[in-house]
Amino acid sequence: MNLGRGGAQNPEDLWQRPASNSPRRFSASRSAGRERDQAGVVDMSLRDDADSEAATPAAMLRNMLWMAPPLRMRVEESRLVIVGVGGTGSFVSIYAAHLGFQHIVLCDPDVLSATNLNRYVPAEPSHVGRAKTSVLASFLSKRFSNLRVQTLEERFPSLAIERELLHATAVIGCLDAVPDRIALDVMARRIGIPLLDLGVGFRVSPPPDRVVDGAGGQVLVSRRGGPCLRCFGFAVDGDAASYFVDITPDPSSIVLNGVIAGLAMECLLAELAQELGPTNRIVLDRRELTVVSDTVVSDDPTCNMCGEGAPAHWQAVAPVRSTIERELGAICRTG
Amino acid sequence: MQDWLSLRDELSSLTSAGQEPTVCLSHDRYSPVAAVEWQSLARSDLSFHVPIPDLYAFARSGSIVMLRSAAERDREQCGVRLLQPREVDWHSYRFADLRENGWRERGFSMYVAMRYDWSFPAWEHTGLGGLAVVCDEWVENPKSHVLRVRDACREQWDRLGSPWWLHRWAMAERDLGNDAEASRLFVLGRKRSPWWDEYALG
Repeated sequence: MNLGRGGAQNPEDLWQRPASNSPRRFSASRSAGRERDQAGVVDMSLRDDADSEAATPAAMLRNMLWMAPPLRMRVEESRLVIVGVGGTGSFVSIYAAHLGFQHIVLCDPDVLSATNLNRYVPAEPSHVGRAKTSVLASFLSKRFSNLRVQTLEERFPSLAIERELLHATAVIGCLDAVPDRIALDVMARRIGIPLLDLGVGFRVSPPPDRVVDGAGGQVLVSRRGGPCLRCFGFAVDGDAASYFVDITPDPSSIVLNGVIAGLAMECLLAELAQELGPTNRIVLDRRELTVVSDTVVSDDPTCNMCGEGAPAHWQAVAPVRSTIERELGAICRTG
Repeated sequence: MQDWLSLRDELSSLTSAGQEPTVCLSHDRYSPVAAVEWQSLARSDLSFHVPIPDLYAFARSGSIVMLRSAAERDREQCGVRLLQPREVDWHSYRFADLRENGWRERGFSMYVAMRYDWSFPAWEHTGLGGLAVVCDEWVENPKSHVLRVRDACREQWDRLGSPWWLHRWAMAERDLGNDAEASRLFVLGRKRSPWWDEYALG
């Protein structure tokens, strides 16, 4: 069972980050069988399909030879939580495993559908109906003997994902819905880990034509001290007309997924090597064939996610019931 | 994932403005406040029940207000709809109150779609105080409120062509009693955006 590893049982303790922020190193534990704990976590390191053909560390060395020793150590020791393993998230996990990350947590409630097959490299038609996390975990586990991959078939936010984030080095968000992305940002800020938010999409021309006239994507690095996703320009419940295409099924591009996932991994490596600096946005424009990186500065001191008083607002998220009753009951009736 | 610190400040403001709000708690870890209720200042026999969405104060909010009234005529007021099971299913992913049926237990079955903030794409949260003002405006002149909503939706549809705005325009026409126009817009929406799930609600 994985949650026992420092996982606090008292909800009040959940937000207490471990005293040391240094990532923890995990060795692969292997035994026959497959275990599922109460929270639904499948530890694929206890897989029954591990075999001698799994890649050895030496075989993977070429992807790490160029890394300076400190970065290589950081990669090996990091815990990545990937929330959303659709088209883009699947590439992120595959790249991460190939780069030498040894502890990856995959979170997604969805099952694979036939319309995913156009961009889901590990999937075969017979996998339709299986959990995406399971398809990916099986694929990765067969190839990397040192990789410990956990799966959480849950929608964010959930207590199990929250627990994993507490011990994560970074979280990669590959979610579609803007509210979920904002919520992940809030939680990452509260815990104190960087969020890399990935998005790809097609741009649609204004009425009456409404045809695809562009495509691209971006990687946003949201961390304490920098702008939140909202200040990057996201609008929960805002207008998303520019991104919806009146075509069924809607278009997607395996290339866009792969390129944005690759850019995100480069960002993550630079962040781990402490070389990214203040850069927090990388934007790909497919039509112009350009990739632009820049630094967005938050200009709203009143923002409750990244402004001056933001830490108090992060702390106000997910209180225990008695706190609510005490605080709100003092100013109005609770019923 | 609600910012209840902001909510606490908003409730204080409501109290200062003469309201006597009641907070309905939920069992959801991330959305501990299911709803806030208060009585109309304009009509003492009418109560408002505002489901508090997930991500409250981190997002724009305050789009649905439920009503409890002993007056039968309120069922015929402009903008009032009876909450249907399929609408509850549709919106449950955003509201703990709908997931836990708190609205039903407290006797609120009618609702009005309230929009007091049309600014976009920038995020803006104006809070319960602003919503309370709009609620009382609706009480005093329901048709004027719905006309304003209808015009705003139509303008955004013309500008952006988003199925979201077309759907809300159609709903406003229905609220105004313009059934033929509402049907025309629903048909147009289904034809233009068959993948847009909300058209399935009719």
